Amino acid sequence: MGNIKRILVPVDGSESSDRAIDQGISMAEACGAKIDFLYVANINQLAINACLSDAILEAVTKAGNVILDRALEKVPKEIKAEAFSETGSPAVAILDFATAEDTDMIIMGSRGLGVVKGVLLGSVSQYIVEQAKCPVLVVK
Amino acid sequence: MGWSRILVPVDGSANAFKAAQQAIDLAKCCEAELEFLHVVNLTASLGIPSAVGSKEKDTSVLEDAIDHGRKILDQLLDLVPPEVKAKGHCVSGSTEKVILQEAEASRCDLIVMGSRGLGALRAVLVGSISCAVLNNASCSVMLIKADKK
Repeated sequence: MGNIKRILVPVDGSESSDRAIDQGISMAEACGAKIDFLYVANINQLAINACLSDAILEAVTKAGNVILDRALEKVPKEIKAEAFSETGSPAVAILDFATAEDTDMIIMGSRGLGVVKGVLLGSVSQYIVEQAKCPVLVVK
Repeated sequence: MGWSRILVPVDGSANAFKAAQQAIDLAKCCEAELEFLHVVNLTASLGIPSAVGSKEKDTSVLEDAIDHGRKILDQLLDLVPPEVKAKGHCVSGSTEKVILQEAEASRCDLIVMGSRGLGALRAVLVGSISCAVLNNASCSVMLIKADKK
């Protein structure tokens, strides 16, 4: 798996994304790749400018950092990993990140926090599976 | 660590070939076993209900299709390095049903497949089979995208 150097694992704190973290670590171990964890705070930039108070913004950022820190803690020392945090639409932010960082593989849960029970594949996963240029591993 | 049994459905498309190569690489790294699967779906390819396979004419069509599938599987098995355990199956039936059944039966923990195969229109981003497998498989699914054109 010498061709896989960077693995993107989008995280949102859901069970499904926890499983994606585990499989991401396994994959990074197998390929000797670096893991990028990405948390996207689903808030519209305009809303931030217009009316969101700093306190709310800080709370959201803090929640994201907790999720990212938990992910980083799971990674064994010999594997490189980094955490990133973005705001905006998760699907778009994930795809933009993958393009900008030349991600070789995206590993993500089949459904995150936002999904109604009964839906098999969440809308974010669906969008990434369709639009990403690199292989996408959807973790059940 | 990682995965122990990887199912790779293949249909002879370039994208499925790419997926097979990715799966071989992965199996090498994880010491996983590979199972290539080719599904002969006569209903889809010829409009012949597979239930009418009893007629002599249909049987020969089915045999030809299975021969063709065997060739695809043999080509892929030739690519597998000797240290990786691999086998190939050719099964007749509804493509997505067979893939899902086989995934359950062989207790694979990962399915690696192309995002769309021979049947899908060019404009379709994810083919119907990949979509059905992605939605209904109980194990993780890795979709390999077609090369940019």
